[in-house]
Amino acid sequence: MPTLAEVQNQFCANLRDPENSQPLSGVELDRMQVYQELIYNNVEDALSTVFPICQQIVGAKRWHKLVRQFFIDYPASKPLYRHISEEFLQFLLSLPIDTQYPFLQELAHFEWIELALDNDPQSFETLKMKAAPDISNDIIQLSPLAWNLVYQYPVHDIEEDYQPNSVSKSNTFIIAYRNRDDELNFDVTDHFTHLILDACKENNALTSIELLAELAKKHQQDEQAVRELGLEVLQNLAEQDIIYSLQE
Amino acid sequence: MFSMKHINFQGVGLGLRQEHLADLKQHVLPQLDFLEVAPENWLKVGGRRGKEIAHFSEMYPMIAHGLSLSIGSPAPLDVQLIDDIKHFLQRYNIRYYSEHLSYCSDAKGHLYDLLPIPFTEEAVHFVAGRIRQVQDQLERRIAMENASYYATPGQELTEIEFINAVLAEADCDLLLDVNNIYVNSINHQYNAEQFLENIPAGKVAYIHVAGHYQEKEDLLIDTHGEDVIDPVWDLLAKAYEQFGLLPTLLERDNNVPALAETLQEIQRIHQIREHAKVGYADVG
Repeated sequence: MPTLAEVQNQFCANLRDPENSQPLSGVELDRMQVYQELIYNNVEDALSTVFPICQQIVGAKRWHKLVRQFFIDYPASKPLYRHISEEFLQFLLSLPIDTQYPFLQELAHFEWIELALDNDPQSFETLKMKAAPDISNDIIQLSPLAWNLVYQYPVHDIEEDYQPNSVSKSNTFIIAYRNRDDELNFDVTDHFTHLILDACKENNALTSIELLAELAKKHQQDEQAVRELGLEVLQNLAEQDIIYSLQE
Repeated sequence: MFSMKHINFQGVGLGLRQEHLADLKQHVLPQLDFLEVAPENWLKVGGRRGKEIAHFSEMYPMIAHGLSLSIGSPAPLDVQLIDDIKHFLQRYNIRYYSEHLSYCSDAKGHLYDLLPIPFTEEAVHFVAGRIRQVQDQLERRIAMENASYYATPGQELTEIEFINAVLAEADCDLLLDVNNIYVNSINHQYNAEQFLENIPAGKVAYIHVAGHYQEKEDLLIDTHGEDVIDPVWDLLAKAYEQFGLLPTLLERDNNVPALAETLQEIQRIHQIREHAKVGYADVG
């Protein structure tokens, strides 16, 4: 007689892959179908909400094939419903680059960020923020609620009518962030801002002026020009809650 | 008479849904005595979401009804999840926690919906042991809900035998879902009232009532997406006769109507409570 675990694993194997597995003997097929549909539709609903552009671009047939493959192949370990999309993203990232839709993994990542950032448990209340920052002389850090992103494809522009088939000549830089009023924003930015934010991320010792001087040295640029432009950029970033000044 | 000392909420409650947040937020409604939340929807959320749950937990007595514990799963218990739930219950002053007598994952991973535990002797011991482990880790007594199911893989026991054996061995409470009794009684052709009569007194912590979808004459799907139907209201009245006026929660998770319409069903629960033939004092 099969053990409890064997019965359950066989039952579930059939839900994961109804076409290529034996349903459990003794269970009526129409009832098995009820579960096949419930399980599939529940997950597919969650995914089409988070990845509407990916879904639209690859079309219904290919989309369903991906979702089915996700059930068959991917060991989803995160228990929360809202993490299904993160598990699916990991699954997509584990696949080889799709020749027809080479941007698909980056686009999925971009679409997923909104949900991730909206639910991120970190908050401004717990940050050691200085109330009146002095941008030049303070130690500036990247907000934990700001994601300094770089993509090979212009993910923010991709839609059904615009599907680039090779990587762009230049990268696309995007800052996704949640401000202190919990509003989400996605700003397309430039390489210079990206480098400054990257330097802010690990920074816990340098003032902005020192940080910009190091950046200039590292990239063999004129120190004064980098400082002037950099301070202006930092001022704007601080006003948007993308960076903040650490309390001493 | 059947009151449980650890049940410190009472009356009529509503499952908190996204669609109702804006309306419910405004002021405390006299007809709502408590709210129920799915902890998984609010675990580790910050920002807007974090503020919402904090706000509601201050407005109303709150209880939690979990989804992802997967008590009957062949996979090991997720002790990290249980820890997160424990922290959540403490942080928002949640009065009580219940889950489903069900599972939602296999050895490979999560499947994100409720699956039928085989009604077997082996499953009784396995599930009861895991409920004890969860109660120990949470340091509180919990209730398990009689789940809806559409198939009976590997069945050896009847549903009522299975449930009662688990309750006895796990030493936990029962969350009695009267809609699930009705749905299961149609789907598996048994007598709903008789089933109810076989639920032991003193085990039921509170009651769930909800609507379902009729897919075929002999197949009802537990969608929580329709109005509650009369036979289910009748079962609720019968449950009050049997167990007293236990706290009762209305679940509406799909096709969620405007709050005013949902409150009509809340009102209906109040009316049934007023007319219930309870032969002893309100235990709520």
